[in-house]
Amino acid sequence: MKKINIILGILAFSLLLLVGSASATRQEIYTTGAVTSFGTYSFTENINFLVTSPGEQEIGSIIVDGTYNGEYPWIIRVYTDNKQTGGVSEGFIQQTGAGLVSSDGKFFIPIAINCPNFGNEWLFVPDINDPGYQNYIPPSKVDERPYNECIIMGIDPRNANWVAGPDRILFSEDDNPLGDTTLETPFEIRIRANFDRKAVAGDYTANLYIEIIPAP
Amino acid sequence: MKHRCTQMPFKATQMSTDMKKIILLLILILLPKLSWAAEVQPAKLELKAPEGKTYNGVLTIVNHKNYDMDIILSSSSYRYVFTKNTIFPDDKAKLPSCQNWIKFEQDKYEVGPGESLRVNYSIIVPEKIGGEYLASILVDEKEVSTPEITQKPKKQDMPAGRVKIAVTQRLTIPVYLIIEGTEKLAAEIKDFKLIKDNQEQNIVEFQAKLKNTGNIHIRPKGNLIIMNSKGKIVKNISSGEILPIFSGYAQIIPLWWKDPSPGEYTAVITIDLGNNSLLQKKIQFEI
Repeated sequence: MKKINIILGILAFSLLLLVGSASATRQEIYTTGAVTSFGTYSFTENINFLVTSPGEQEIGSIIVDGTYNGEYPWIIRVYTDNKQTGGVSEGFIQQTGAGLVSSDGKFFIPIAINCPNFGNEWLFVPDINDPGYQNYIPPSKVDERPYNECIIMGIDPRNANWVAGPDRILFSEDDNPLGDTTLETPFEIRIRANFDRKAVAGDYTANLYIEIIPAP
Repeated sequence: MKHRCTQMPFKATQMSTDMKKIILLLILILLPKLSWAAEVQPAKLELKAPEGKTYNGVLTIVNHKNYDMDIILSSSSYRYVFTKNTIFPDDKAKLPSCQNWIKFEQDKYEVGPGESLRVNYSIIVPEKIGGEYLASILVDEKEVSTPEITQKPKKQDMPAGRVKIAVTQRLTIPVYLIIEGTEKLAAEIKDFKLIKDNQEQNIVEFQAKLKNTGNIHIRPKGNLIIMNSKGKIVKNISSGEILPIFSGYAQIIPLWWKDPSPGEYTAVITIDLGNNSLLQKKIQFEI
């Protein structure tokens, strides 16, 4: 009996260690309220990369894990908010731009991301403070993108035709409320930047925001 | 997200208590980890406040993680989610914003593991205004000890630079503020028509164009009844609840009828704006 209790104790202690070490690198946001919950998502919290050679290269990836609970319109989008970036050692940036910001705030290197639902396409990550930032508008044609927002996932409202399924009837059994821009988790967001020969050597930083916009 | 099945085929009555404990522990270890982080309530604020007064409210944030967390609050512009059926006003003007009226008692909190936080906020409503104003409350979540650039280069591979990207998770709470006593809930069905563009699949589509002519958003529900030439109801189709349609905006509400039989019909659409406001329009058609 004592042996079993000791084994149980060791197993419980191991479990605590496992949970503790895994959760130290993850964060999740979970919402509840009057509207239906859309579950929880977690993201890698920071990326470090050493630039050792010029050229276009992947600087890291963000692992997204989460759940999805049902038919619920929402969007997950990515942008930088470099107005808030002081650089690694400097204080305040007058000018804002998308991507990585040099430590003196003078230089920017654009970044692009790729998710499994993008295919081979890499999408530029805009800065939300840019005057040309265009919010998501559903395109009228499949190959149109009348916005420059970087949407990772989006579930259009129920009255969008393309969630209707093969029979084109909304609210019927073959509806695909997840639409065609969603992904099963976990998945990886890969990040790429081009450190060409014109790029100024030094430290670069960025505040990357992954924003969840629930049903309005 | 695929969920793992945790049912186990065994008879509990035939097992010893210690065996049950071991199995329970193994199930706990094998279960997918469900460790919620910040839980924020409410997820949406639809408020009414009189002009010239201050509205006071509370957000509740719970840290379900086992480490300290920084919660940073700010107000921002409203995040629109449009559909392909949205019709914008001619001037495409943005709706009035109450972003700058929202104040937090504190805008940064450190929340310990398992702790619950009540965040007091106020909305200072100016005088001599009416209608509806929109904004968002942004809840940013960061782990307290965000590491600095830590990766050390090897001597033979000295870097030309270092890169650090801090990833912040941001949750948006939409805010709708109606100025009490000035609200006008109104809409018009501008058009209701039949489109027969998918005859090979024997589907007809109805489209109702609904325009918000009031000064606050509406969340209408549509219902279509189709009657044959004898007045008998042959089909009842629901549109579900439509996302907010803002003042001056219009929305196409599509409804589909699959496999209609040839004949003469009357279709009546009823749109419920809430507050017992119903709109109706009918058309007669032949298939």
